[in-house]
Amino acid sequence: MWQQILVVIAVVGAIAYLLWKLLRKPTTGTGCDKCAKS
Amino acid sequence: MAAKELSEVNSPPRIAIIGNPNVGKSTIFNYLTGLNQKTGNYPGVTVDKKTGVLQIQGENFEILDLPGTYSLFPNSEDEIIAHRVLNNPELEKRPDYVLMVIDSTQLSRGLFLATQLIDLGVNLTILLNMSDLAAAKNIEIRSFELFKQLGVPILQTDARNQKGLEPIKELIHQRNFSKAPQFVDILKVVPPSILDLVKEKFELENDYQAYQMIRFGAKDKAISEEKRNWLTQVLEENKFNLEEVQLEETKIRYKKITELLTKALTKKSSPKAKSSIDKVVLHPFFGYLVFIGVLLLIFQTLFSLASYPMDWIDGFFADVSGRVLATFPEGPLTRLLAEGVVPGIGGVVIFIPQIALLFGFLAILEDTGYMSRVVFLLDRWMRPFGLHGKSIVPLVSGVACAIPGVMAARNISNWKEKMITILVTPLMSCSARLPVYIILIGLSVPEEQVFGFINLQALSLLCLYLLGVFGVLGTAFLLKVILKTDEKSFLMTELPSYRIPRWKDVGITMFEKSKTFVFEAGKVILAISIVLWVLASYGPPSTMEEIRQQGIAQQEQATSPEQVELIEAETNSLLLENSFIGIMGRAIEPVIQPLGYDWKIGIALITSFAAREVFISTIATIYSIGGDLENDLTIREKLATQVNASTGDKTFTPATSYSLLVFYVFAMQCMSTLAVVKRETKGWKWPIIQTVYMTALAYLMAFITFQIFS
Repeated sequence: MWQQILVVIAVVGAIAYLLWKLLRKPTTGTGCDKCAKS
Repeated sequence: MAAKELSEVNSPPRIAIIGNPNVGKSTIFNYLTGLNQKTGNYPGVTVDKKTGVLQIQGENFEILDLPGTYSLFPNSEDEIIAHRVLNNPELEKRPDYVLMVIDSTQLSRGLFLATQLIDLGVNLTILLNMSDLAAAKNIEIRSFELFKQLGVPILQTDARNQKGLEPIKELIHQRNFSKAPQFVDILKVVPPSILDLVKEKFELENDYQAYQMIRFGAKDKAISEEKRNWLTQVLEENKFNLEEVQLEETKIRYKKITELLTKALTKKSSPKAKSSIDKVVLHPFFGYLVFIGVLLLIFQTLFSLASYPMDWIDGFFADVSGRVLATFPEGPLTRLLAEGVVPGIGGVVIFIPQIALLFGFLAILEDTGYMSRVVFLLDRWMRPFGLHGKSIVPLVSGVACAIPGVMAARNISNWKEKMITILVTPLMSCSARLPVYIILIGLSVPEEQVFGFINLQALSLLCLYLLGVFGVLGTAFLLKVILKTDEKSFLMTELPSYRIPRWKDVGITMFEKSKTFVFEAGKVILAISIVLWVLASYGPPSTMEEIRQQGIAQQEQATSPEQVELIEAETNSLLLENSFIGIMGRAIEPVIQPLGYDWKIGIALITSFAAREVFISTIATIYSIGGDLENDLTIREKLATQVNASTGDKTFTPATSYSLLVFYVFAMQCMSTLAVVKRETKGWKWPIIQTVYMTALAYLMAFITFQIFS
């Protein structure tokens, strides 16, 4: 059972990370509109 | 100086580093700030301004590294950055002090910009860099004479060899910068009445600032519309010819610089030993031969040198998977680790040797000065295809990564040429394609020698890079016809002196690039591996349970251990096929079947849209699930032994592998590049067109390849 719980946590974490990477507005480096304008 | 205060009261003093391209600004910036911004013996390395902090005896100074510019007459986006930072009175944080870096071997050209800065009234110090090269060329600079004539502090440095740099910190700490008397009297070329009007309107105190405002203010969108309109009206009313005035100013400035240099510079005749190298490497025939030879040498070394650590890493991760399964208690977490996480991480780490070597070679080519020769060499050849001059720099950068390549297109002033360059740069084979190339070439091309000394696999790799170049040329030609480029830009690059590469910097580049690859790409790859494992391990519960029960029933009827093993493998294969990812994969299979791919490869194509290198880890994860992990199969062995369930043939036949290789040569498959193209083109239109075009081209070329070889 504890293994299943840890797997669920890992999967939720992985999905959250990928969504964050996809949707966030970069504040530095690649894709940072603000940096390009300043 | 502008009426507005130069910097905010509480912020640290701001020091801008400015100079012509490729004079060592970034090296000095790195020395002062302790940062590791990319440097190179290659014009156009810095295309955006960078900031860092210098701390001296508890006091902070903000250091600003500006892109290289030849004058305060901006011609391209990167030159506009320097112009704006120094000129725009509507920006609040302008630099308090300016460090002007000059290549000692190109004094006249450097002094053109330096004297413009003097006329602008900035607090200036001049660094005469590359003193070692000047000495090697028998150029003697009397810096005290220069100081007397110009009236600003002058230091001689050799930043590459870290000589003469310590006094810069002392100079900054003591704020030893000067506002020198005007070098060119701008009143000789611009009527005082106009200058006074502009000075009053924009609250400027300096004539040269007013002149800069007259010259560029009407086009600068950083200035309010009302003021731009006013300026346009004034210029029209006075029938002011901007180009003529600029030409006149340039003539006067160069005349005065020439007079100055007769007193401050002695150039003895120097032996021209090194130009004989250029006779070969820039030769219209032998030059290309040398270039192809250099590329072949790099690829041959990539295969031969990287194969040992690669095999070791591959074997290590296969062993870890087996150990995890054998040691940890049975359960989903253990399987996630053994089948998802470990193969996923292994799929990243295995490519560190190649990535490090590729970037090491690129750093050596840049640092020796050969890369600039390549730019010059390719320029002649690419013109018929609509790629002119400055397009070559982004394309050459694109071999490492398309992102800096696309950003380097800012150097190009002509909008259409810039668009063509941005759109074709991702077709150059970047380092992220290398893992895919290496694995698939290893699977499909025998390890044989051609002509007794050329490795066939290295030759195949070279052909893939050349195929990317052909893609660039063809697409550029197509765009040239569609976009109808009328204006033509020209290549103004310099051929820097040959140098021995700085091995420490090469080592740092290799380490930094490998680190970025592992930690940036690695995090995404790990997350995708976890999600993939779940999608590949679970499916509609009733179907999965039914398959399991059937497998158990068949195993009970089996008469030999071999039969049990076979039934187990078949059950695992059926479970994967009916998992969530199997359902998705089979849905897209009809689309990719003409290219020779099964649904598992289709899944890898989808996941690798985020980044190309994800392809290998996806394949590694999918083929691990339900496989025999205790046999410790490496990624390459797993791919080599895969069999297509429906046909019974090997999945990775030469035709499929070639088709996949060609697909990856042309496909976009990189979210970060898309983001940068969107930023550089200021909208989604071009990145969408680019992605659709590249995907369609990749599909078509992969289809043709598969049909030819199957």
